[in-house]
Amino acid sequence: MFTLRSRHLTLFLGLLVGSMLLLAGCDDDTLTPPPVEDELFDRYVSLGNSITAGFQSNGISPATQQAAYPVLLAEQMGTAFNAPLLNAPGCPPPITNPLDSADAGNGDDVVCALRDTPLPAQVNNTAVPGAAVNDLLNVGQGSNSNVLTQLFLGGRTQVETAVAAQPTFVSMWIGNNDVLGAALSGQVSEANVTSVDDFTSDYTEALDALEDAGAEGGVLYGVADPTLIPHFSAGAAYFALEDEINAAGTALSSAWGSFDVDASCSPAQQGTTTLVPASYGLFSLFATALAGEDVTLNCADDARVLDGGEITLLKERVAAYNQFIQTEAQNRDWAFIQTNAVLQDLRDADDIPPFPNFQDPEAFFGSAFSLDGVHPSSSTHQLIANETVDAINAQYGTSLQPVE
Amino acid sequence: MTHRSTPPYWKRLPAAVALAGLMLVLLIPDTARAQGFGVYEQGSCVMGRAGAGVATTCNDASDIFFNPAALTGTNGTTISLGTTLIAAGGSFTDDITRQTTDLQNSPIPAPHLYASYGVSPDLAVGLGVFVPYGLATEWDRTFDGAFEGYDNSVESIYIQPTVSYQLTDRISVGGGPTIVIGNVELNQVADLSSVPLPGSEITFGEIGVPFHTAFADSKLEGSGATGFGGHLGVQVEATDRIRLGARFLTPVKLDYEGTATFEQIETGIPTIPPLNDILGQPVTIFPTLDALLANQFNPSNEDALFVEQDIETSLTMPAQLVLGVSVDATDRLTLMADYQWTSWSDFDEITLEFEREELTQTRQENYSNTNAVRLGAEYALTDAVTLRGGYLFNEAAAPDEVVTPLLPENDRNHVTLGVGWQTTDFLQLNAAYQYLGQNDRRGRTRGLAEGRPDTNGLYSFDAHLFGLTATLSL
Repeated sequence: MFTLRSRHLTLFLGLLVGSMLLLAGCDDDTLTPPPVEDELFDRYVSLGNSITAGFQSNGISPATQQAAYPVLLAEQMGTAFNAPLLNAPGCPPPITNPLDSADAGNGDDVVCALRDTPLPAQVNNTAVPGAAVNDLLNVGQGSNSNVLTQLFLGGRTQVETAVAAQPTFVSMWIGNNDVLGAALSGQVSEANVTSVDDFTSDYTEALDALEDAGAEGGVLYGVADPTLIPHFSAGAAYFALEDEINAAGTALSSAWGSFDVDASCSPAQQGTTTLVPASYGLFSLFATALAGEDVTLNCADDARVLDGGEITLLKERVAAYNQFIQTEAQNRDWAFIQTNAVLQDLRDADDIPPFPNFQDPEAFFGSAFSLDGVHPSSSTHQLIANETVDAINAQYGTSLQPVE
Repeated sequence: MTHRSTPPYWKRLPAAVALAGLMLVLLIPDTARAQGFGVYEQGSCVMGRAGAGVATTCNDASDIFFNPAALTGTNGTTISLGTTLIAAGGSFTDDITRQTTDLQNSPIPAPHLYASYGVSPDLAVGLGVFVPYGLATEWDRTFDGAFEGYDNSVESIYIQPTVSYQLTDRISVGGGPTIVIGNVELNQVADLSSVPLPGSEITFGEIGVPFHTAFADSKLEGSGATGFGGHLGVQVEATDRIRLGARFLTPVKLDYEGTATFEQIETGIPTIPPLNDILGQPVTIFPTLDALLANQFNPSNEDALFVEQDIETSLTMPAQLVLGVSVDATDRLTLMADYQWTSWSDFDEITLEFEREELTQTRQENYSNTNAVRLGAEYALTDAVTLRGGYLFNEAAAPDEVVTPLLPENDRNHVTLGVGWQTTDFLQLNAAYQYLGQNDRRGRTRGLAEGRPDTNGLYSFDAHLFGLTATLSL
């Protein structure tokens, strides 16, 4: 009798143990997201200014935001990446013709489209147009905060926003606005460019905060030399093209006055040692002539023309920033991009023309730059993304593929 | 303690009832939460067989829940009192941050009390108090999912007077009305990015306030909702060895009235710049964002949204249909199999109606009806000691898109072990252990929105359940 009982008992316990084993080990890979290209890129954030944010042609739209190099880079990394997308047409919408003042968006009451919803859980591209190095850490009074700072960051700084995304990998391209504003105004002095001391201290503080937040790697970009961008043309270029400028003006407006280029802009005088910002030579002087006035560009007297001393200060200051940035990259074992070598190649290949192209308003500043002559075009963003892919692969032994 | 001679039945009953009643009072108030919205562990004897027992219940008055037809044949008065301690563990792992957040639940007791009395060999009556529906989930308030709910509970206490009658030699029927008392609580953190600017339709998110910026802690409580339903059962002795059983518990709708209270959480967001330019309309230049928001929490501000106010909501406790068979394989071994259908589709949406209509919200739940299979075995080791075991599988009720911190559920497999000990003619003790294993399931910590992935991470969940029931035969 007892034997029979224990046989049943054994069977019963056997069934129980068997069913327990069935429960064990139910790991299912389909439940977790596919791994990214490399663990290093689990969470990538980008910091920067208008270029990194995707500003083009005097405006920013969801399309230009998505064409920015960090977005392209994140696609190659296979990592989730959110730009703080605006609604169409943007804020402000990019222009489509640099010589037509009544351009897209300007005719409407829509001054600025707000953020697209639903909002992403994290913002990975924290870059904001107009940001200088101190804006990485400051927002509100005393900073360069603007409407886009509010729309993209909502009251946080770039570093705070980046840290909230718990970055494993960081890119930072900042510093252009520490010299660019002075260059565009034509008034470059120690007072209106950021000192090297201030630059290095803010830059270091931002990098330290990102590393403290867990960033294991990154890429730093040299500050662009403003004298290399197509927005600036030599006085001599205006001098050589005086007839073409007047012909273009006559073709554009029946009210055309005249555009005189003074002999001071000739190669013999100061034509090769001065730079004229398009914001002055074209969007101010040329636009005035279009309205019927007679204007003169004088390379010796005009305050908005950059003279030799101003150009030297710009170049030396950018070189000092870049020396520091490259050292920071080396010390932290991060990758470094020689931005100005890329720009020089584009100049040499004539993708950055010495003077705007009146015959082709759609590529007014050449194929490498958008219609404001300051911000790279989508093709240059792709080029920058690919330069970055190479630099990251060389630094970290990864195998990111170039953007096709 | 020494055994005294048993006093007559009429002297023992009042003391036993009083004791049981006192224990119930001590157990039920606000601790009677139970994880998993359906709680089937309403008696440690049946729990040991994975809940299988509609065809053959335990003779401990828990029949009132497991099959109200089965009370017949009971002698004298039987009182069972017990509790199931539910120790749940769980976590959420975010896809992007890879951070794992653990469920904070402390072990939760789910008590049960039954009393039955055999009026005649063919007729018995009883009264049961049990909690067949309940849930409690507690997460850290800083958890991303706190915007969905971080401290949530639903409990539905069923009180069921029961009559059971032996129709023929082999068929008995039983049933009774159910009086249901329901309590519900939801604690949530509110997201500023989804709230409109005062006096505007533009949300704070549209002007850049980051997603999931906590600005308010809200507590929604509704208690004492009452509903009525019924419970019917039938049991058939097909052969000397084979019995069949069925029971049906009706759905019960509960209308809750309660209170919403709010507490401001400082966002720390600095001054928002004048937005007149971009909004194209005059906008107050805020001293600080938190100062602006504080006005929305001020009871003396007539337009304030986030002030104490009345709320109403309704929930339907689903129906249960159970069909089962039991076979006496030998004199000592009984095998049981039950099938259970639960009408979880009753749980389709929850509308929370606020006194301030702007706050009224509807949560889509869209649960599906579920099937469960219970397999149990009981083996009489000696005349006094019985061993039990079982296996149970139940389907998930929640569709993919509503797997949230409130109830991150999925298909579940359970195994159980149990032991019964007839200590004396007067006292029987039953104990059971159940392991609840839940398959990992993708879910979300965020509201659903077109253009955002439905799920953003993985929920894991399991639980250990310990049941102990004392049965007094008087």
